[in-house]
Amino acid sequence: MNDKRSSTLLALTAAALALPMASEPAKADPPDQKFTLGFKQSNYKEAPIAADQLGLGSPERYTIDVSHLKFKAPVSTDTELTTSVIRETMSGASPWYVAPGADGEALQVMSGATISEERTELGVDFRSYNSNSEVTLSGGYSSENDYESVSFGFSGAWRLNQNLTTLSYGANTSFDYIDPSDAKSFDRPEHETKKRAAAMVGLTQVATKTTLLSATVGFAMLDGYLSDPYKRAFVAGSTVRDSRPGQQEQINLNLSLRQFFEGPGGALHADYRYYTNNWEIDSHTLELSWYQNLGNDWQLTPTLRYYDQSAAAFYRPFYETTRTDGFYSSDYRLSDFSAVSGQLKLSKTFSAFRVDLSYENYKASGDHPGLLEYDLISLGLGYAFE
Amino acid sequence: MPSNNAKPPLHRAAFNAMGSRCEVQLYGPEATAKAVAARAVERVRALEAKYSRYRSDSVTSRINAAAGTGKAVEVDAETAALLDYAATLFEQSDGLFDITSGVLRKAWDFKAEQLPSEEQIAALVPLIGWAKVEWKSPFVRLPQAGMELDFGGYVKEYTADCVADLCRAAGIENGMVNLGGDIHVIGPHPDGTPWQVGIQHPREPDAAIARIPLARGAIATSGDYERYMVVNGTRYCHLLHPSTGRSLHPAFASVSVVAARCLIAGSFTTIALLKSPEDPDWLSEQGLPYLTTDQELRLGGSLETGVSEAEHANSYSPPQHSNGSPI
Amino acid sequence: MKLLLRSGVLLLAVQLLACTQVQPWERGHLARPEMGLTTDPMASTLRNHIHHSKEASSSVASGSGGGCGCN
Repeated sequence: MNDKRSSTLLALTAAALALPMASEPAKADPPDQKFTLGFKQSNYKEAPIAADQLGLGSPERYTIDVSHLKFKAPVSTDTELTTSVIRETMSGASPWYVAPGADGEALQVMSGATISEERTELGVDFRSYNSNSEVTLSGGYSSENDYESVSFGFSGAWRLNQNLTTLSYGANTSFDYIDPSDAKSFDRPEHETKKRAAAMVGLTQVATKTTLLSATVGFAMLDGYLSDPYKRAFVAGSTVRDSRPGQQEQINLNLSLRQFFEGPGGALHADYRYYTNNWEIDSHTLELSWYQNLGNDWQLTPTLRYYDQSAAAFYRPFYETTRTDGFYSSDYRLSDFSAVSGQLKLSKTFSAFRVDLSYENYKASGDHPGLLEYDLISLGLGYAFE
Repeated sequence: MPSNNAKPPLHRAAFNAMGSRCEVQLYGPEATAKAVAARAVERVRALEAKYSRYRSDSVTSRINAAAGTGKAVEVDAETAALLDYAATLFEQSDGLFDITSGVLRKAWDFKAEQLPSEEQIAALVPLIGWAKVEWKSPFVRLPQAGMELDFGGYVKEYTADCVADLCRAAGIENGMVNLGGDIHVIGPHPDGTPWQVGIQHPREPDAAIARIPLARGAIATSGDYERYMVVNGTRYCHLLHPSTGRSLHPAFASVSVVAARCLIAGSFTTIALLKSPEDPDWLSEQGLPYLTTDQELRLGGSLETGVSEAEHANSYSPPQHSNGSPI
Repeated sequence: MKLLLRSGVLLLAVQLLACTQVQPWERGHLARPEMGLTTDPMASTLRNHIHHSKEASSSVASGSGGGCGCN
């Protein structure tokens, strides 16, 4: 009898849970039968190389303008289709190879000619949803004058425990075709391919009324031409092609926290990612954002990102002797460096529109002379209609 | 609301529904609060229309009209969940909270101030019994003509929850819904202070017997004063035993319970009163904050009442607003 | 690095221990747009693409995004 009495509250609460609730369930995001249009225009500009780091060539680096258009339409009551187009226009000089200077210091030699390119990317996602789970099929295609890529993927989620727990999973594969320009003049490979396959699983848990936690683990394998055809390495007095292993395995672990603070009316985002691959590159990324609601549907979001990576086993700024394994790369992206970036974003929501403007500055530091600093400005527009 | 905003205005909508004085108080920009309050009132009226015994087009009337015809009535998801809730109430109250006992109103006419005859009660008791109801989602069937379902015992509390959810979903963070003493607090006043909820004095219609500070959650109150008559010096109230058809004499004049949902709070107050003649300690074992007023008007329970013993000894506080409205 | 990883997992485990059973009517805050794992998918696409081009790491979760000849 005593057991029955203390369980009355449980029994009634359980029955009350079955009643329709006006408030939205956490983290279940059903197709809302609305059409949405999103547009983002961004300008990315790298700072020029400092004079004392430059060996030869133009100090001006890349400038990229990106236009991204995304359209989502409901197909039926529980499916939706999203199509996306990205167009990038890039120009500027890029790092070519690193040479030792008079005192043995590393100097970045830049490509002299300004490379001007356009890239177009198309993406399609088809999402199907039911009360306990969902699946999304994705396809993508990217094309520029010297590079083409096709990708397919699927991802899904199961919602458990009254939508408090979500198990997510995904897998994707891509095929890239590389045809470097001016291959013969510059001793570049003429036609190469690259394959990638990846999979991930994740767990998201509602911890308290104001806390969300998430962890994901991913694994990827790359196979084929993984080098950069436009870069060379300085080896004992002459330059050779950038040559990296033909295979790479990588693992990444992501931990995320979303915490709402009622007092100030804002949310804290904390994301940590650990990455490692079999080229001996390990990295840590920590990103913190604070979403501050300012009233009248304005929101200000400062973000800080800290990144740190170790160098690839075969990386050197330049090589004194040849390597037995034949791997050479002086690409700054494989060097030991850390980077800090700060971003500020301001957004305003109207009943059917949303506008946001953001600015980010990123600066990498380390020994490589070609490490970069960039500024990124983005303007976003969103529109939803029935 | 973020503290760097000026205190938002308070919009108050008072109206009559479900046989009681109702009130919705919302903090927010004027246009928004007004619009949301209007939707709230609309929702109360819609639920009243859907479950009212008095409207021939209500779900309740449709079910009752089919009693004894052999035909089952198909109900929607909301009604199905309410019927399942009724089943849980029946079980948890050991059969005392029975939504088929509404037919007893035909015998108990509190306005006439006359006790029903044995024959009147005997005619109605066979029509009562949740166990007799054939309920298998989504079909419900009342096998005997004259049997009735009545959601009135808990639909008002359910409505208070629905309306509070609606306001929250519309972005209201500070406000309160009060449907005749069934109260759901959406959030405290913008400066964080709780609402001061007055509890109806069971013997003085215009007075409060206690004031409960509530920053969130819900509170419901039941008592022997809601519908009653005094015959030969004995009080007979609307709490009737489903098996005997007789009026229960509860140990308490009033019971209030605080819970996350008004529906839960109201279920506990009603079951506590129904069980109080046999088991007056039942409520103290349930783990929810509660306030009781016994037949000698002594306060008991685990709630901070905000009324000092001295003040209470004068038997009632100075006149307040009507039933349960905040000060 | 292993220590950092272990601390991260420990932190997550401690947070999970603090989990409470949140009822559906208590999820108003969690449903806010700024509490989502991804608040601006288009911005995430852009930033992930930039980071993937300019750093050695990538996330599998950055979806089926194809490659590019990013220099």
